[in-house]
This record gives sequence, structure tokens and C-alpha cells, in this order.
Amino acid sequence: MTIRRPRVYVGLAYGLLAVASLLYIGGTLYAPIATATHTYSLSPRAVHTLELTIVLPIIAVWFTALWGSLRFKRYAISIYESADGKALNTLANGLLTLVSGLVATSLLQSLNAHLIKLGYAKSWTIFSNYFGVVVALVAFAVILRGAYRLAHLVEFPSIERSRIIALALLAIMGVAYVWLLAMDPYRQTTPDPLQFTSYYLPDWLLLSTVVLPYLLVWYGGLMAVIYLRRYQNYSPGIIYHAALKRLSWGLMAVIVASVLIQLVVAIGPSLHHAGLGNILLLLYGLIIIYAIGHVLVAIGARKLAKIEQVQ
Amino acid sequence: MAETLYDNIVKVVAYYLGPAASRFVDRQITFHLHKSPQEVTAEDLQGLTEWMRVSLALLTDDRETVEECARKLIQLA
Repeated sequence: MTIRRPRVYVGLAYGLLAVASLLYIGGTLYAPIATATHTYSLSPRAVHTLELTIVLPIIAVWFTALWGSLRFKRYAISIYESADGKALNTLANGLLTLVSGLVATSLLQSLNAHLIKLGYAKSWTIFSNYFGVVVALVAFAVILRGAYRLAHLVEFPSIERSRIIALALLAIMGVAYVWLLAMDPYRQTTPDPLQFTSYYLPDWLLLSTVVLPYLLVWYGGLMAVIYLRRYQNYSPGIIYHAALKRLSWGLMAVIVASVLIQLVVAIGPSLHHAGLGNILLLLYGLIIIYAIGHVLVAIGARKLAKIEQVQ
Repeated sequence: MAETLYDNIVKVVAYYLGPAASRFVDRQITFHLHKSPQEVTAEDLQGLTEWMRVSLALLTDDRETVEECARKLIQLA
């Protein structure tokens, strides 16, 4: 029986990303800048310069992430008939969903100021927040499924201790998240119509439909890392193992960086007192880890693909 | 069911290539010996081992690992 392999539309993916990049640059640079100047006392020129220093590296990270994910996807498809190929393909799908979600949420955010000015602040903010939640839920559910299937191809000891550590970490992240949200004076309303309000949701709805799903996403991310570590540590093959290590570390870096970026973005409005420079520094650091993760994924996938190509 | 020579070859190579072993062995047999993997015989082992030695050397710089695998394969004869 022949198994139908999925196809990868590499050209289309890069084309769509190029269009998204142009929209992102336009959406960001032509955005009304009153909100930012109010919050951080910056001149319009300084805001545009700052925006460019953020937008261009972000676009570079998008392309790096797509390159790494597509390379991984192509490797997974090349061995799709096997059990490890199917599990890796699921992981690659999750990674591609994560990258697409990152691009889409950034695009939506670049339109924030435009829509606030047009009077759609409330509906747009609610929509873009929920969009981020849904994309993260889908991406991490697929990643967790792939990592789970991959880990269960090998025999490994109980993960109960690791699960407890993941739950403890999640509890710390959850408490920090809720506490910082509670500190955000603009989470429901602001006295200034030009000031960005974070959620426009009552606390009970915020907790049940934003906080709780994000906690699930982060738990899924931590569990995916645990399963990937198990597969990395217990899969056989001295030569295979060396190539797998890079892919596995790359995936773990991408997952952890994504979780932390989501956390920082979610609690961003509560971090005004930390200063814009410090928040940006933290985000830059995480984005660099995210990009390095994708480079490792690409290198690992190339090394693994070589094993499948040598004759 | 008794293990065939092919199963034993895959088992040896799996120590080095993990889940990629059966695909690697299949390619080596079909590409170099021009037969289906299950048709491999003890007479093919010497030649197959030589091809695998060359191919494994392309995947690792560790000569000792490559020689160790080749030794184990020859012992299957």
C-alpha cells in the first residue's frame, strides 16, 4: 500500500511571508503614534526609529523561523512512511503553525493603533487577544501530540518527577501572570481614550478565557520539552543521536522561547515600571533564542536528512 | 519466527543509526546489490559491508565507530 506523502509549498510559503513583511512594515510605520508617545514620552521621530529597529529584526527572525521549520518539514516528509517520520511531521506542522501564528499576531498588533483611532479599540483588542490564544492553543496542541508520539517510539522511565517539576514551574508562571495582570490598571478600561487598554474583559472572563488557556498552552509546551528530552536521551543510534541532538535542542529552545515571549507579551502592560529599554532587551533576548532555536532545527534536520540520503 | 540475515543486519546498524537503520540498509542493498532487502544472503555480506563502511564514513568522522560497525556486520556471516 502506498502512503500519500504531504506536500510542502516552499515558494508559496516564502511569498506569503514576503507579503506579510511588507504589510507589517507599512502597518507599523504608518500607525498613529500617540499611544507610545503618551506612555514613554518619546518624539514621533524617535518612535519611528525605534519601530524600525524592532520591525526589521523581527522580519529577519520570521524568515529564519520559516527556513528552519520548512527544512524540518521536508526532512519529516522524506521519511513519512515510518513511525518516526509521522511523529516528526506532526511536530513540524506544530512548528509551522507556531511560526504562522507569530507572523499573524504581529500583523494584527501592527494594526492596533489604526483601529483604535478608527474607534474599534474594544472589538479589535478582544479579537486580537483571542486570536493569539487560539493560535497558541492549536500550535502547542499539535507540538505536544508530535512530541508525545515521538517519545513513545522509545522506552523511557516514568516522567512523573518531570511532570511535577513542570507543574511547579507552571504554578510559578501562573501566579506571576495573574499577579502582574492584577497590577495592570488598564486591563479593563482607561481614563484616556487614546491609551491602549489591554483586554476590555471582566476579570472572570479574562481568567477563564485568556489566563487559563495560556496556562494550558505553557503546560503543553513544558510537557513537549519533557517528551523531546526523553526521545533525545533514549533513542538508539550513536550517529543518529548526534544529529538528533541539534534538532531536539533547537525545538526545545523554540518552545521555551515561545512560552516566555507569550508570558512577557501577556504581562507587558503591567511592566511599565520596568522601563521600555528593559522590556525590549528581554524581548530581544528571547527572540534571539527563538531564532537560534530555528537555526539549530535547520542544522539538525539537514544532518538527519543526510542519513536518509547517503547511498 | 526466526530472524533473517536482513533482520540481524538492521539490528547491528540500528546501534549506530537508530530508527534510520532499516531505511539505510534497504537503500544500501537495493542501490548497490540490486536486489530486494529480504533477498540478501551471507555471500553478499562482504560487499555490503564495504559499501556500508564507505556510506557511514560520510556520516561521521569517527573512524573507530565505522570500523566497529563493519566488524560486527562481517561477524554475521
